[in-house]
Order: sequence, then C-alpha cells, then structure tokens
Amino acid sequence: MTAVAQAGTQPGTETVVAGSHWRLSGTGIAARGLAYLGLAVVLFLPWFATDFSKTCSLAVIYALMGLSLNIVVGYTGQLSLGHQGFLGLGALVTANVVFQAHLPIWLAMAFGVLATTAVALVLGLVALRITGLYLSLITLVFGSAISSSLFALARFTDNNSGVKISRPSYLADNGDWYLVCVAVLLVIFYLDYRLTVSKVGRALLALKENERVAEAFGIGVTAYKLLAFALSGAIAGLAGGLYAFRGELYSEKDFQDPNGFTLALLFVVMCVVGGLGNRLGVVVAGLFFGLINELLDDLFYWHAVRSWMQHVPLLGSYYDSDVKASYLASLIGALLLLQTLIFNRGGLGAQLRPIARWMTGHRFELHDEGGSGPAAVEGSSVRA
Amino acid sequence: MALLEVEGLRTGYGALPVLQGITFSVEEGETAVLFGLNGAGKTTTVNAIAGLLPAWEGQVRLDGQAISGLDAPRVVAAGVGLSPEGRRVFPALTVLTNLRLGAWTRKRDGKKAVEEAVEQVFSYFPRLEERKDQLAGTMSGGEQQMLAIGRAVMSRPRVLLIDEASLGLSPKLAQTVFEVVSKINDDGTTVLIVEQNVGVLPYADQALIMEKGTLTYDGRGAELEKSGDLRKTYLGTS
Amino acid sequence: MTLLALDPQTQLGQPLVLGIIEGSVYGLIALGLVLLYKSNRIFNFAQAEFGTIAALTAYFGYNGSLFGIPWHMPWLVAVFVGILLGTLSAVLTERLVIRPLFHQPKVIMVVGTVGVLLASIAVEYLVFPTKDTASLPSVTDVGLTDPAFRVGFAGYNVAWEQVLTLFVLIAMALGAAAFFRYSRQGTAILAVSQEPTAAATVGISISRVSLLTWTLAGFLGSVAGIVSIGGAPLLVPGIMTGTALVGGITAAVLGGVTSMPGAFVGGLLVGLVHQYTQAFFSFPGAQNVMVGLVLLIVLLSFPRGLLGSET
Repeated sequence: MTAVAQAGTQPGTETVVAGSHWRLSGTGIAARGLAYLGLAVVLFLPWFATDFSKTCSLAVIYALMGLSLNIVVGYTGQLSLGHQGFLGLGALVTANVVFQAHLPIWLAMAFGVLATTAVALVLGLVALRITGLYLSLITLVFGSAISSSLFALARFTDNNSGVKISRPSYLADNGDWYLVCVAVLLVIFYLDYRLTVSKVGRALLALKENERVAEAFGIGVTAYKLLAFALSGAIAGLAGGLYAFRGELYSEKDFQDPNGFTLALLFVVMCVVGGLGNRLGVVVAGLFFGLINELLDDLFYWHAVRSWMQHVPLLGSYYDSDVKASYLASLIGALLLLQTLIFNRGGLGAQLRPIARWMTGHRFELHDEGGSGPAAVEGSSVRA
Repeated sequence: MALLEVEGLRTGYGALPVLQGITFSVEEGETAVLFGLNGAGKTTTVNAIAGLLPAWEGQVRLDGQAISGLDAPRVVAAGVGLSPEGRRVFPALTVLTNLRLGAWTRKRDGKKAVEEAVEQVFSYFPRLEERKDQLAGTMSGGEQQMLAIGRAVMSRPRVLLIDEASLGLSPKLAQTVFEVVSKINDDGTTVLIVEQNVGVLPYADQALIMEKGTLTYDGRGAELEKSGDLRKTYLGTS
Repeated sequence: MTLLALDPQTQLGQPLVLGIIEGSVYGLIALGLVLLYKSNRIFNFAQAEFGTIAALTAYFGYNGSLFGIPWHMPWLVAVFVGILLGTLSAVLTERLVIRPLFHQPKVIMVVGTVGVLLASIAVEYLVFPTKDTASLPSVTDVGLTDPAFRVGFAGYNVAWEQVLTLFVLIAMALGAAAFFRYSRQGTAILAVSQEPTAAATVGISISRVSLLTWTLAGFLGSVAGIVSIGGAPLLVPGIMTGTALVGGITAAVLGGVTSMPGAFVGGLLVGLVHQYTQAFFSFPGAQNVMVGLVLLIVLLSFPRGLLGSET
C-alpha cells in the first residue's frame, strides 16, 4: 500500500520540478521523502484497527465524493445539491449486480460506474440548457426524486429488506477494504491532477470564467460540460461501489431524505470548506467530515465525559439522546461553511497550499503567486 | 460662500484611482456644466458627490456642511439629487410611482406636498403626464430621461446633478431637455450637469472641463463659448 | 388502481381538496421565495426551515419543556411566539450571512443559505428534545374551531383547519399583492430589486430594504410552518424542508419566480400534481418523480419560468 502512495504522487513531483528553476538540495529531497513516508504511515495506520478502519473507509469515500462534486462545483461553477443520488445509484447498481447476477466484485463496480456516468451525462445535457440557480434546483429535485423512487423499488432492495452482499474472502477484513478505498482515492486524486493541468482543465477553467468568450476561442462548450458531468458521475459511482462493499449492504434509507438531503448538503460543505476547485483541500475536508461524526460520538460516550455531562444542570436532560453527536457535527460543518464563505474564500486548500507546494518540490513560502500549473486552475471563484 | 464645494476630491473604483484630486465650487442659483471626453472622470465626480462612491481624500460640502462620507440615501436627504447616468428608471413601475419614489426622503412633508411636486414635474414635462400610468421601461429614451430628471427633482434638492442629459437624444429633444433644466434652475435649484453636447453652453453660468481625472478649465460659460480655441481643444468641435 | 375502476370520490374529489390544501403550503413557501428572489436574485434554501423553527417553538411553548423547565402557554400565545422566533431566524440570516455576502457572486449567497439550512436543522436537534416530540395541536384540537364542522366539497368532506390553510394562503397572497402595490415599503422593495443604484439615489436604504424583505419572508415561512404542522402526525427537526422545500421552490419557478400571483397558482398546481399522482400511481416516490418531471419540462421549454412578470 505504501508503494501505491508513493507511485501516486511521484510523477506529479517530477513534472513540477522539471519546470522550476530552483534546484532541490540533497537534504531537501530527504526531508520531503520523510514527509511522504510519514504521510504513508498515517494513511496506513487504520489498517490495524478493524472497527476504526471501517470509519476511515467512509471518510475516504466522502473524500472521493468531494472530488466528484468538486468537478461540477469547483471546475464548472455549477452548484449540485443532488450528489447523494449518484453515490446511491453507484451503490445500488454495484450491490444488485453482485446480488442478482452474481458477477465478480470488480465487474459489478464497473457497472456501477457505467450507470452513474450515463445518468450524469443526462444531467449534463440538461445543464447545457439550464444553468445557475435553476440547475441547482434541478439537481436538488433529481437527488430527492431518484432516492425516493428508483432506490426504493422492491426489485432493487431485495423486497425492502436491504441487499446483503459480501466481499471476496481476500478482502474480508475491514482494514483491507480501507486500503482498497485509499488506493482508489490516490489514483483518482492523481487523475484529477492530470485533468486540471491538461487542455481539458484549461478549457473548463475558461468555460467557468466566461462561456461566450471561451466559445469564441473555439472551446466546445457542449463537449467539455458533458465531460465534466460524466467524470463527476463516474467518480461518484466508484465511491458508491466502495460504499456498498464497505457495509456489505445496500439500503435505500442511507440516501433517502432526510439522510440523503443532509448528505448532499454535507458534500457541498466539504467542497466549500476545502476550497472550491482545490482538490487537496476538498480531500482533507472530506476526510475530516467523514471522521468527525465518529470522533464526536466517541468523545461523548467516553466514560469521563459522560459522567461529567450528566451532572451539568441544563445539559443533563439532553444528554441521553443518541443523535446529538451527528447533529453537532453538521452544526460544525455549517459554521465552517459560513466562515469559509464570509472570511476565507480560499478554504482549507489555501491554507494548505504552502505545504502542498513544499511537498511537490518548491521552496516553502507562505505567500506564493499561484502562477504555476495546478495553482492557476485552482481558483476559488464560482459564477452564477 | 458657494453652495456646493468640492475640495481635493480623490476617489476611484476598487484600488484604481480615477479622480486625482479636483477642486471646484458652484454658486447658489447657477447652472454649471461639466465637460470632458469619455473616461475623463465626469460620472465618477457626480457619483462621488452623490455618495455612490466613497471619497478617498478631500471633501464635498453643501452649504458649508460636509456631505462626503455620507451614503447615497443620506446625501439625498441632505439636499443633493442625482439623475444618474443611463437614466436608470424603475422599469416595471409606472411613471407616477417612479416620481413618487423620487420623494422618498420627503415623508414628513405629507402626501399633499408630494402630489404638488408631481404636478410641478408634469408642468416641466407635459409628456410625463400623458404617460403617467405607463410602465417606465416601455417608454422611449427621451421620455425616460425626462422621468429620471423629474424623479431627481421630486426630492426638492438644493443641488441637482444630471449625468449625461442628452445622451442618445435627438438634437431637438436635447434642446427641449436643456430648456426644462434651465427652467428648473430659474425656479431656484442649483444645477450641475455633465454633458458632451455643447448645445448646453448657452444655458450655463459656469463651465468646467475635465481631462484624465483632473480639472483643466473652470470659468464662466460665456467666456468658454467665446474662445473657439477652447472648444476645439477640449470638445473637438468648432 | 386503474382508470377503468375509477372511484370519483377518492380519485377525483379527494385529491382535488387535498391538493389545494397541500398546495397552499407550497404557495406560502413560494411567496417567501419570490419575495427574496425579487430583492436578492437568489433562492433561499432555508426558507421552509423558518417554518420548522416556528412550529417547533410553538409546540414547545404550548406543551413542553425547554432546558428542563416545563411550561404551558396558551395555544395562540405559543403560535405567536413561534412565528416571532421563525421570523427572527430570518432576520439573523440576513444580518449574519446575507449582508456579508452582498457583493459576492449569487452562487456564493445561495451556498450561504444552504449553510443556514444545515445549521438550523442541527440547532433544532440540539435544542429540542426530539424523543417526546409529538405534534403541534391544530386549531380544532385546542377548541378554537368546531370539531364537528365539515363541509362537503367535490364529494369529499373537509375539516375547518384544512379550509383555514387555504384562507391563510389567500389572505397572505392578497396581503402581499396589496403591500407591493400600495405601500411605501413595498414599492421600495420593488425599486431596489429593479434598479439598486437608482433606489439609492432617491434615498432608499438598500440595507434596510434587505432586512425588511427577509423579515417578511421569515414571517411567511413561519406561517407556512404553523399552518401545515398543526394537527400533522409528526413534528421533527427539518420537517418543513423535507416536506415543503422542493414543492415550494417548484411552485415559485412554475409561477415565474418574480410573480406573487404566480407563486400562489404554482403552489396549488404542485399540490394537485402531488395528490393526483398519488391517486393514480402507486410506485414509490411517484409524487417526487412527477413534480420533478413537470419542473424539468417547464424549465426546458421556458428557461426563465412561466408567468414571469415583475409585480
């Protein structure tokens, strides 16, 4: 697994270093190598704890959803409030292909990706005509309509009891599945980076800034918009497959309102807090929001806290309700979202940029001009 | 003491400076015309006086009281009315409603005073009375210009700022508008009018010329008209 | 359920009545949305949640305990306090979120309202003890109207509170229309929405108008919450967003997003589509799918909505 982590980031390092005039010293290389090693170790640690690694898988899946939504919101500037629909569709198709057709797990996940890509393409077609506020409304309706109808059909829910599937024996352990999720995340992260520095990435940026001007320069609006939606759908479908096998169960309740709606909003929160268009920030935010629920729960039910809380006059009467932690998490999310919008539009990504630049072989500077490759794409502006 | 005094005014948009520090004053009861090419800073000047743009440096005073630093609604209440560039009438409201909104700051004067002011505007521009129930957005450019000026008069300002009164109007219509402005001036309102049309000069007591954010001429209107050179240099006409 | 075995009362009369009642709630939400669209050019995704806040507050005022202290307000007082708090939450939204984002792109402001929605639901869960939540009693339950009252309508019997919902919507719609047509503040809102710069030059304070608009929108949302939750089987955080947000926005869009009468008609239309879909189709989520389809078709054919007028 460490090998994958290295392989996922190394090529990026080379391209950027090749373009810069500043040469890395031997100690510089060693320091960065150590940093990568440290990161790999941290990513690997959850593997040792079966229960915790299941939570971490969810965090990684959230991070993937962040990357997926980031393509639509960050790169094309359109707000989607229905991305839980794609996650759920990916999970539904993957689980049902395994359950009903008994196909191997990887093939099933491929079907999941195909399905979400196709649906995302349809939504992309709609987005060609309907934009801005109206598109966000369409996505909102899409999410709630698909999760309350298609997801709930008895045909796909094993007669409403939930589709139970199991991972192949060589991946039976939660820790192993966690590593699969991390590997997928690293690969998608790298592909997303390649996307933004490619011609496609520049075209998307141009489209976001001004569709008409971009068109005048010969950038095909139709093709690029559809591509963006398709890629976003594909990543969400993959996340859905990972999600279905993470719990070894497909249940439509996870994606139906109010859960589904909260999930859709949470994805938006991740993208904004991470910094619109900033992939590293979005991934970190995704991991954070994936973990925070569990961590708060653990904190609340930690014996010392529990016995203390029960004796606080006002809090005591509230304490026994078990939903409190998750709503505290969404309150934290909402407040982080608002503070990002109002005070710190770059989001987490802007805070992390000096570190990210150092890690990719640049000098450590708190204020960079952001002129090179990915930084140029990672603007934080979204247009109505 | 002049009624409107502008002293060392510097302002601009965002971090971009436009006015480099301009100083002039307009005497009570007079009509001043501000000439200049596009981009010279004329609109910026009147917008800054009207409180739409904050002054970076310098001061604007009305009858000795500083009005720079107030926001647009307070400047109107203090007695400076603006007929903004591009007319900007309320398109989906009727002519009558547009005019009544012009008297927004005169709530205390009562309904009757407002209706009297409407009648007075109608006497200046009889065309508006014919169209009083029509939606402002459906009127011609000339009629919208009349409405914009009429609306600014409704607040009974001591100083009336008019930005580009004749833009896009036929020479004949422009002349009509200038005549009404002169009538408004005769009725006691001090006027500062931004123009590119030299046809306004006969009505002006004072002429100002701006170039690249600074004031390059400040004198009597009649003198400017006499010196053909000035007209040629600054206005490109003869 | 096929068309052949048509039962006129349950398949034609009942959906008509229930559709109008349900649509009234969407209409109320849509009125608030249109108001805010006029002044800020955004959809407020937290609009329906002002209603939940009002309903929850009213419930806990009438029959509950807050922070462990039990109390029992008279029903009308509780409802008044609920509407007050719902309206206050809209005022806070304007001051704390909308105002700082005034000059940002519209999408940013919309995401801001999404943040408000998420925060509201979370705060509701944290403040109100959900386990003993039942339902806000309706006007009939508290004896304000005659429980025996029934009026026959299209072969279906209607109770007082259902009629009341419709009356409230009509009153609000007429009130809103009159407000914009005849009142000074109403015309000021229209002026700011049409030409903000010109509004400032005639002396209208844009910031004050924005606060007024949000206050009114909060009031409309709160009334919608009280009206639709009264007598309903369950009252949980987020309930109005779950049941009425999509319907309300759809109603606003169908009505042309800037038109008050349009919002009214759009609301009834969405309610009828919901109820008739339920009467004729039985697959899960049929109502949501149908409303989604209607919205999609309307937006694809009229990307600016129907009936788009500014008054």
